[in-house]
Amino acid sequence: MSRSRAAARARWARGLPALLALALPPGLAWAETPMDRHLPVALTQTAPPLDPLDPAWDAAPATTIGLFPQATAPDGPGGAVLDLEARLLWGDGRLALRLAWPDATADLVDTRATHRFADAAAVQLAPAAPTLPYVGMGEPGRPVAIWLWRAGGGAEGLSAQGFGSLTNDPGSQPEAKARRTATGWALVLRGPFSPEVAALAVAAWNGSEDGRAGRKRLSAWRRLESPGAEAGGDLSAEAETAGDPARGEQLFARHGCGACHGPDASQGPKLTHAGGIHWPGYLRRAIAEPEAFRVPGFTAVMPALPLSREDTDDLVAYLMSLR
Amino acid sequence: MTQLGMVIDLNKCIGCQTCTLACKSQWTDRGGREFMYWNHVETVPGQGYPRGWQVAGGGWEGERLRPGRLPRLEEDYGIPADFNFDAALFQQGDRPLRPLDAMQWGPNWEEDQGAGDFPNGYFFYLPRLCNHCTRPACLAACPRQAIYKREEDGIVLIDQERCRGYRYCVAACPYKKIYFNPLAGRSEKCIFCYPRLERGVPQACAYQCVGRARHVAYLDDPEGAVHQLVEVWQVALPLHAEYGTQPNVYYVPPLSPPAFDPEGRPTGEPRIPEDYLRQLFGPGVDAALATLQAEIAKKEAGGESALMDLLIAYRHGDMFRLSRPGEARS
Repeated sequence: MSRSRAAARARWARGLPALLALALPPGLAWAETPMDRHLPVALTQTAPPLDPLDPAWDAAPATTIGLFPQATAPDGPGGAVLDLEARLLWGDGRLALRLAWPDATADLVDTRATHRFADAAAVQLAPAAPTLPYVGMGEPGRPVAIWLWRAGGGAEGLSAQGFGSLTNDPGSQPEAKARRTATGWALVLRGPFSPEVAALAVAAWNGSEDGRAGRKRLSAWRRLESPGAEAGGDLSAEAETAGDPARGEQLFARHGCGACHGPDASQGPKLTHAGGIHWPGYLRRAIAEPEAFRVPGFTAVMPALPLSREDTDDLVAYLMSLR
Repeated sequence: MTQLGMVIDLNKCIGCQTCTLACKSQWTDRGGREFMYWNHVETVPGQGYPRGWQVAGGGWEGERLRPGRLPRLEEDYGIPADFNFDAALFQQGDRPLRPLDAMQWGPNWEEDQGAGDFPNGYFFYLPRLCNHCTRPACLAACPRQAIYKREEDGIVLIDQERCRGYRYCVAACPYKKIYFNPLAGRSEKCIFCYPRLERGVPQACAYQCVGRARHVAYLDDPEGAVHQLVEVWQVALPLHAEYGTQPNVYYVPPLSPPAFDPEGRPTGEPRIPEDYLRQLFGPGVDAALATLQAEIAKKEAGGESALMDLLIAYRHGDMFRLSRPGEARS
């Protein structure tokens, strides 16, 4: 963690009661420049608004999150990264996210069509722990909570612990309100929030391209910059990418990783957008224990490579540079 | 795994749709299922129901699933139209009974159209339902493992709790016998009437068939008609076996009267082109038709034919053997 970030965190912790007492605007902008893999949460003293057009959102800092095409799914959407703007407000025990992203056509749930898919967006929440779950639906023993909105169809609360394990969780059902903007959607998802939530990831499906299941664009985990993150497990070790990406690229070539994971290979999940989707700690774990993270549709053939700590760091640094 | 199978004798199907209605009134008459026909009878040759299902992809290409496309409600299934009952039946005037919506398609939309030119036009009826395949492409395509095949009878079912309406199964089924319920947001299909079977009652489509065209039994029950017709006599064949899913509904292929030559004399060639039947039922269809003809000839000559007796089905109850082989007959 950088010195300035540590100082900012300390400031946050010390200043919190004072800030809450101040008659600030309903939102409080996070003072620090948002860094990659972080997401600032602004506090409000009242319940965060549900309407995306509510002026209270102006007070929440805007963060641009890259949504990357799911390259792991065999029928992933392909194409370029999509920039989503996220604003987060926390107050009255609830977290509200205002997500805005481009989508040229409004595809709503259509009860008179069998071949159409609705636009959708989801937020995935991970509890505080020293290890973040796998970004794709969590993993056994490391559950994630999911708020899913479908255009014209409301929102549901879900939970998952790995591929194919998505289950309804009515207790966590969020509220949702969406509006069309000039370029796409502005959506607010608001639900019960505990400070135990440490990180968040976002996904969007485009109905026009038959988006559903893995046919989506998704972000990597973002650590919430909030008092919750202070209280939770320390993720700084997992977030580390101090390795040498140039040396990592040489290692990638030397170990023949591209034979299975290259852009034209099909034996393993493509790593085209690895840095945009994955969390450094996950990549480190997947390199050390590949059989623990088998993606459905692929055979578990990846060997555990005899890599030094330094080698792994360099490899992770290289993979995180792939966007 | 033991597999319950069905044989449909196309020489006995008269296209009356009693099976279709038996199924519909039991399972699909409400709740977003109005357009669905888990069992239907289409007139072939034709585009069928849903429209163009034979060219919509799905099934297997070796070890890989072949891509398939999703049928559209209005264009390919046909909307379940409402009718002007009130105006036509209860108001003054002479307005005829008509659908209120402009229909584009429906089950058996091509009723009795067929193919060929006079005097050699031809068609026959093809009842279709889920084939409860041994190698179901729908099951393999589901990323949530929401589809399962029952160990005890091989019935393929969709777990409605697990289904999230992704429709990979709809695309993967080469028979297009999984339907997306747009109201429920989940996919649904023929359940082979398992709640009836579990009480010893045959499937509605089979039990109600007025032509006694449908036999039901376990494939490995040596005394069952399915085993006899499929394995012993080899006169019952799967539909489009080349799709690779190993279907468990089998068809006794249709015989046809001879075609006429330009002078109006019968040629001795069957009216239904053999090539067309091979497309549907594979190369085994020639031997199957030859066997049927030979056995019919025996019966016509006053002789005995166990095959004909089986297909005639003198006793309705003999057509259904629902106990698993080795189990006490109920």
